[in-house]
Amino acid sequence: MDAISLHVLTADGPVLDRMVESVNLPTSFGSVGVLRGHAPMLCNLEEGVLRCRNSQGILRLYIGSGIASVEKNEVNVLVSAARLLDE
Amino acid sequence: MANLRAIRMRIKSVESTRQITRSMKMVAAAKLRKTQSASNRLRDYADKAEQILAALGGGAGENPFCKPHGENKKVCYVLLMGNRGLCGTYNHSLLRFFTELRAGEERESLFYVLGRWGRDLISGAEERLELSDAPTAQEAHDLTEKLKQLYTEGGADEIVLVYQQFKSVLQQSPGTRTLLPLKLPEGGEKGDVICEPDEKAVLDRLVELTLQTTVHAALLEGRTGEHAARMTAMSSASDNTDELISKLTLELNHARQAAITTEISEIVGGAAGCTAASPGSGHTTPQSSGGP
Repeated sequence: MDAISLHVLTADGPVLDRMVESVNLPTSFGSVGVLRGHAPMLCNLEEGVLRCRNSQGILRLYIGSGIASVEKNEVNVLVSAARLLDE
Repeated sequence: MANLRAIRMRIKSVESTRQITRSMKMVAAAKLRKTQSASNRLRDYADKAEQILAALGGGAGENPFCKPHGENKKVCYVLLMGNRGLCGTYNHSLLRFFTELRAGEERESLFYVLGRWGRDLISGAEERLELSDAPTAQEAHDLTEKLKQLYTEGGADEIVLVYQQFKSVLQQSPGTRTLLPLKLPEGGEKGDVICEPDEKAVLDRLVELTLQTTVHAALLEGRTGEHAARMTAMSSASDNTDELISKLTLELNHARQAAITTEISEIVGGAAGCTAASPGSGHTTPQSSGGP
């Protein structure tokens, strides 16, 4: 079930707005998975691959460093750059 | 006839000027749209960053970019001028504002100048930097890094951005914004939020992000103002050429009519002269030649 709304934003505009089931964030201390009902969290992101899964499959984005906030099934990812790898 | 030719040439030259001003207006309008939409996209990003900051409960803590230096003796102005002229009073009013600002400044001051117009015409700047017509995130990042370095190395105790603030397409007014030390909004209670790796690291990252967003927003705002000012100036220049052309056309018609009138009166005068001369001329008339 796709219960998390994921927003990936860069200073040049939004890159992805999608409902997903889970998100995998590349952080400075390893990869962090976010599922429905995750506790509120702020974390620093490092350059790497962000993965998200929804009913249609897995989507990968290559992102620059930034910050992510998780709150009430909403994940906001603010990064210096982001590019979809699967399109 | 010489006068007629001169007026025709003048009309032709005004027409080509009109062509130039009209194209400049269209180019400025396209660039204005581009920077305005970039500003809007950046605003979404900045709003989200602000939300996150609020969730963190604000408060700058010990961040080196939020903590003022012990003594505030040296100020660095970052002057954002236009890239070109022909944009009404955009550059001049900003320059006048800046001159007055510096004259009233008691601390030691230095300044950076951005934009080709300013770079070529203003002397005494510490650094002269290029800036494109639609500043990108990368340009904002480079400038922010430079200013952060200046601040941390003690080159300046305060860094102030000076630029034309965009009120509307028809109105921009010169203003300032203090970049460093950064004032973060005093937040309320920090919610129950997990910070990874820790609160300080997250706050440092957020401060970095806020600084860059602030610089980028100011750069875009200044440039939006420049394009808007140029569009307005070129629009009124095109209107003026229209007016001038209709005035010159009227003048041309007057001159042409006057020339025609002179010509007709010359012909009439000449014809009258001929008919008046014929009866008294004697030997050329048939009567005098055909005698009995």
